[in-house]
Amino acid sequence: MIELIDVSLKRGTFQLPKTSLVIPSGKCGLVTGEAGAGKTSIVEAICGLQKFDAGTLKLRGQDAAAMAVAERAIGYLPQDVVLFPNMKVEANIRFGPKIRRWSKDRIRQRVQELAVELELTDLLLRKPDQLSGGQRKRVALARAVALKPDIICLDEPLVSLDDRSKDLIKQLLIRLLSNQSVAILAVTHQSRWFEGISDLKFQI
Amino acid sequence: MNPTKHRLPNSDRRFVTVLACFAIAFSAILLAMVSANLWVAAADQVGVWDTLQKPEIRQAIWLSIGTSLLSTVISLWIGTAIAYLVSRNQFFGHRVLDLLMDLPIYLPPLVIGMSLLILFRQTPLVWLDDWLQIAFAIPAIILAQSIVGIAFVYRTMKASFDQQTGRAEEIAATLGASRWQAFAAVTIPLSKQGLLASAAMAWARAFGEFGPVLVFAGSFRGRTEVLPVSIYLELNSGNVAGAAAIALIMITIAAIILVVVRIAARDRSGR
Repeated sequence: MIELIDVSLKRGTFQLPKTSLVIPSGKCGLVTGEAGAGKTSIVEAICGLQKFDAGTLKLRGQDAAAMAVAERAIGYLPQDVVLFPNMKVEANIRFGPKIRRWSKDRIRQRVQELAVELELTDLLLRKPDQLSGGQRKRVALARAVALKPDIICLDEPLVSLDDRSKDLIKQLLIRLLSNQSVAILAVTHQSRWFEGISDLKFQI
Repeated sequence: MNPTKHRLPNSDRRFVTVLACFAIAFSAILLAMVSANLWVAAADQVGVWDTLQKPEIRQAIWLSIGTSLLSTVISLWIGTAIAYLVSRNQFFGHRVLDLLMDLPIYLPPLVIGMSLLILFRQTPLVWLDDWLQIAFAIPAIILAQSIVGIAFVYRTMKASFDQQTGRAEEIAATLGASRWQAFAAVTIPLSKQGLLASAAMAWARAFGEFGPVLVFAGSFRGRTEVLPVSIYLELNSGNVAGAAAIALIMITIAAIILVVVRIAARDRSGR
């Protein structure tokens, strides 16, 4: 569950007005708004990558203001994707589970699972600079959900994707939401595409 | 695509020719310098042979290699740590520290040696020197070499860290990585080229360090004699051929290290 209550932040000339939103577990909430409205800032504030100036953020019912980024355990798909360029696709996906010291068998199984779901099996041994935009986004999504997080933040997950990649991501989101403990926040300009997945919309 | 492979227009050709003249002139000077040593050594083979047979010269070779490698490791650790601190954090004294880190590069080498000597022999810190036996001993060589090495590593690694936006580290953090883990697993591998370049520079500077070593560690044959000091001592005793032979040894070792670093720095695509 994600609860954002009267959160505001200011960076230079940019000012995010007081914003509130609640996304219960088992739901997907869409954040929409004009470019530069502060959608990415909200996602980054939830993930702990930006500090907000006022308001309250609760994750899983607990105040998250003092939580370190790693402690928040949020699956985050950034708008700029940011794959680790020195690692192959497989190493990118298993980065989180390896840090969390999952067993080798469990990691291998999880990577295979995600590779099949997102059609990455043939790409596992490639480096990020050998991937197309859609492939990169799918890898970043696989990496974000590899740890099976119960809170997932997706920043423009569909931008510049081919239809096949969009379908794969949609199927994955539907499967993730079938687990009632997962809350998903997605920043998007393509809210129509989320019909049937999301019934919560927040306009910034 | 490599632009130099195009057929150049005449105006461009003149421009490139002028640039090439600089490159040719500089390369010629470098080759002439190396050849001069070869020429002197070849003219007096007995002098060369005698010099290389001296146990103190052999010891100087090992001392030079050992101390320069150790000071390179020290420089890499300290220089990289401070570079990361300054690159990723804003704090009181940030700019002053950044400026201070350049100081050893701009200071005359002799001043570094003299300052170290005064610090350890003429200030209340003398107890530390009495206890650890730093001045006029091997630790003095390593310390004198590291001071400048750290500055070189700092400058190169800071540029490398500045080029990275820090986004990869942020993403690593969202995946559960601590600052240490993100630094070790993401930042350092992404800085491989910078690390190799700074290691090469720190090592080259340490291997050839003369002024600070001479002042702070002295020129005791068989004790604190590194190869640059050997050259100095041989020249002082009028053995130019011997000094040239030592110079050739240094050139050979430096060339080997340069080639090794260049091979290591090449990425897998062969670029």
